[in-house]
Amino acid sequence: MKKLLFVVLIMTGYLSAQNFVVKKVNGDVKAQIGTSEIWNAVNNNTELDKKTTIMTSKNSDIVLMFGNEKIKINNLSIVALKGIKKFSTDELLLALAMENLINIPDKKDNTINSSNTAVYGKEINGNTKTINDETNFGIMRLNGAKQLAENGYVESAIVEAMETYRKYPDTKPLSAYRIYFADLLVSKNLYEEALTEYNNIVELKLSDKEKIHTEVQMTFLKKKLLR
Amino acid sequence: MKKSVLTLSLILFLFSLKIYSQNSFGLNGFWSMNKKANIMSNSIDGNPSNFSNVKDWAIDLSYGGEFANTTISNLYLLSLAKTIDKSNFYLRYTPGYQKDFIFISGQSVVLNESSTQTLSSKFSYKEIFGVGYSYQINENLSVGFTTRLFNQEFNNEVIEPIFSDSLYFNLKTESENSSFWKTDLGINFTPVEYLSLSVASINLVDISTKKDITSNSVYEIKRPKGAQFGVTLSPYKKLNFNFIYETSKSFMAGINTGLNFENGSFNLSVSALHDNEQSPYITGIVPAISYQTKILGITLSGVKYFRDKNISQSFSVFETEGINNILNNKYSFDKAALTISFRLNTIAEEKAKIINLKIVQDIFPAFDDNYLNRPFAVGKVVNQTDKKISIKPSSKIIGLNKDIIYSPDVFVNAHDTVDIPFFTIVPDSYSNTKNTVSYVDFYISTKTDENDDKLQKPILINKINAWDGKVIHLKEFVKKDADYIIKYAKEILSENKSKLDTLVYFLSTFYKAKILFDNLVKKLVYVADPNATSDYVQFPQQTIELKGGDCDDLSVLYSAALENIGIQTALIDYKPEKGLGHVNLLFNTGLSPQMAKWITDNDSKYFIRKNKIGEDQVWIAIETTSLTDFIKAWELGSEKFNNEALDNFGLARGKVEIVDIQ
Repeated sequence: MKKLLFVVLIMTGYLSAQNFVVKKVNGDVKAQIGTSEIWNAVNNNTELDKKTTIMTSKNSDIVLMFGNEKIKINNLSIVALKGIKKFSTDELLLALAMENLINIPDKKDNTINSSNTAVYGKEINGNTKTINDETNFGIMRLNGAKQLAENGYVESAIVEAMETYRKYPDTKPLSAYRIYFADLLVSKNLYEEALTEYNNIVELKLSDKEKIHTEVQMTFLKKKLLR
Repeated sequence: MKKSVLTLSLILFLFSLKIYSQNSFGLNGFWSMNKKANIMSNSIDGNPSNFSNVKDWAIDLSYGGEFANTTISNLYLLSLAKTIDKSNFYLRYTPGYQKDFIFISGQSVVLNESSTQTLSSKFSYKEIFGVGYSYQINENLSVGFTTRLFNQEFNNEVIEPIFSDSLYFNLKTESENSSFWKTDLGINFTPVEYLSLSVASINLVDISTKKDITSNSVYEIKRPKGAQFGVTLSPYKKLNFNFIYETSKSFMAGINTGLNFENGSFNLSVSALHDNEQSPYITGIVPAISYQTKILGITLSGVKYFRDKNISQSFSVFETEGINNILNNKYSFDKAALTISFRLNTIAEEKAKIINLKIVQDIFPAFDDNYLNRPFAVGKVVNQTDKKISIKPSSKIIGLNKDIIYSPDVFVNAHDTVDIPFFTIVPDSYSNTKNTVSYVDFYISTKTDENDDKLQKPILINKINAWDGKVIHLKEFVKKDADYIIKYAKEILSENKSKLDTLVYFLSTFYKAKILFDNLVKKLVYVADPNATSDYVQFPQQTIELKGGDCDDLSVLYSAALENIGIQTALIDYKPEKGLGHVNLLFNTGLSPQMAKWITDNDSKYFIRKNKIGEDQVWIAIETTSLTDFIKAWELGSEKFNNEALDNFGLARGKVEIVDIQ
């Protein structure tokens, strides 16, 4: 047993230190390394370290290998490779708490001031359809976050989404994305956080389907929290 | 006369008022021997240790009378007490402390055919004055002594035959008298608030100063040596039980209670006495009623004996037993007395007391604002009164404060104990180059002009550049040298005016910060703290003049430069696992998140912070020790913040902290 544990620990260390290998690139895929301002084209069989951020254009995608794990990033997405990692629920809570810690203390007004009222949600049909807007980094980041979730990195996906709402406030009114990531919070049993998010969502302009879904989820969450 | 006298009718002319059956109690009541007692006579009769609750001056005057066949009243006591620091001095004059006995002998002289002269004797016992001294060793323990001067005079009428041409008799008075000093010692101990104990000697030292007695020595006051033991128990604040036992097997037991009013107190006391020399078993009671204010006290008291009022006694008994006490003996009558007490307090009454005081932070002169908001010391203070009081704390740090610094008033409920904070002010002009150990005088007062209590404590005043290693306190260094830094920053910006003028307005903050940093890096070098300690930080002007510094110094300088041209900054405290930490900074570009793309295409190089009114604004991190250029410092700052504060949850885990300057 001790031997097995030792092997597992070694493997974990190995995996966390290793780079990503580009297995297949379709179309226009770019990478930005660390704090660089430049986006460079990505080629097959190149190695990318975890400080890299990948951006896929329209009709493009990329397949990465991370150890034995295969990750596909679809078109019109931005994914920071450091986000491809497993979080515990506790770490997810810590990450969510950091939003308040980074703010200037003693703020008197907690309301979110979103001056941009553009509504993108009308084009969304269902929880998985994405917006095709290669000029909006925020939407591409949300697309990337969804793909993290779909690849099993749900906690990372939630953190990425929240960070995107902050850095790209134009994405806040995107009700379909908000509902998608709020439901991820529900799936992780973070009911209080999910209800807070739904309380914000209900203020957005929602389709009838989204309204019904939101009401059902809020009722469910309130019941859960009242227990 | 003398021994040959067979029968004597005994008539007492007694002028005494304050009476003591044993040695232990007073006519104006047996009050608890406790500093907190509402009333305590400062008489020394039952108080050989001179235990006193007089705060400054006390003058007592007692006047009263005895209910004998002929009621006679007199001033019997005038006393003065003075407390100086822990010492109490007591002096009294006792004109009424006197007992006279007149004995009518059976012998008569026929003067002529129609008249005769009956021979008599008069014995006078007097206490003339007394002094006392006591010293309070600590709050619980007091020791003292009293000494009193007595005089005894014996006058006997005798017929003297005179032989001349004819024999005739001359009536004359033979006098004998003596004086002696009686000195006793005592200790009073209060181990807990509700219990007081005392022990004292009786007739410990007896020194005769004048003795001209031969035939009357048998009638002198009996002065057997002994001791007395007292206890006061206070189960409730206004209720005291008192008991004194003497080795002569006499005792006294009493109870006191009281009621406080706004300007005074009304007090009752009753005591029962058992005198081994007298009968019945409970010889009498001593009731007393008293009204006391801070200045004036009036006490009406008395003694009621339970024995037969008509006293008839064989002289042989008197000759055998004598008397032990001038004022209270088996020949004493019921008495009443009115005592007026004056308390002249030139010393403020100690309404509040500091029972403990803790210096919670040493003085770092650079953190001047800190001491206005956070106390440097906390005192535990008790309200010793029955009322809610307002306590004004103040302090003076020797060598730092020229005047006493007053802290906010604190209200304290009756008999409550609270923690009171002491704040201070570090003068702008203060400067010192060495750490210094000084002293602080702490005061608490309930009035503006008098202190109830004071205490002195040592305190460390650090040198002007000293820092306690807490990044939050670097804010104080950022605020220094404002005039110099404003001028310095403006000069640099004015040199780049043409460049700044071409920018769109919303980018001016970012580029001002960039220009300032690029200018500073040309002049500065990074110098690691030579002592590898975190106890010294340069002021902004010093860093410019010394042309370098470590991460603390450089972050302080850059933050000061930005703050003084209106750019918000925050220091980032990277706390170490062990050893020294690291500091760099964030500044507010003033851009909204939508405008971030004007300064970067990489969204990992900025961070969104909500301002005080909830607006999201773009902040960027700068590694101030990277003295290459602004872009490199920005990259390094971003990497470090992303890695340690965000990706590794440093902010959430408390390993990284953002300290806003404003």
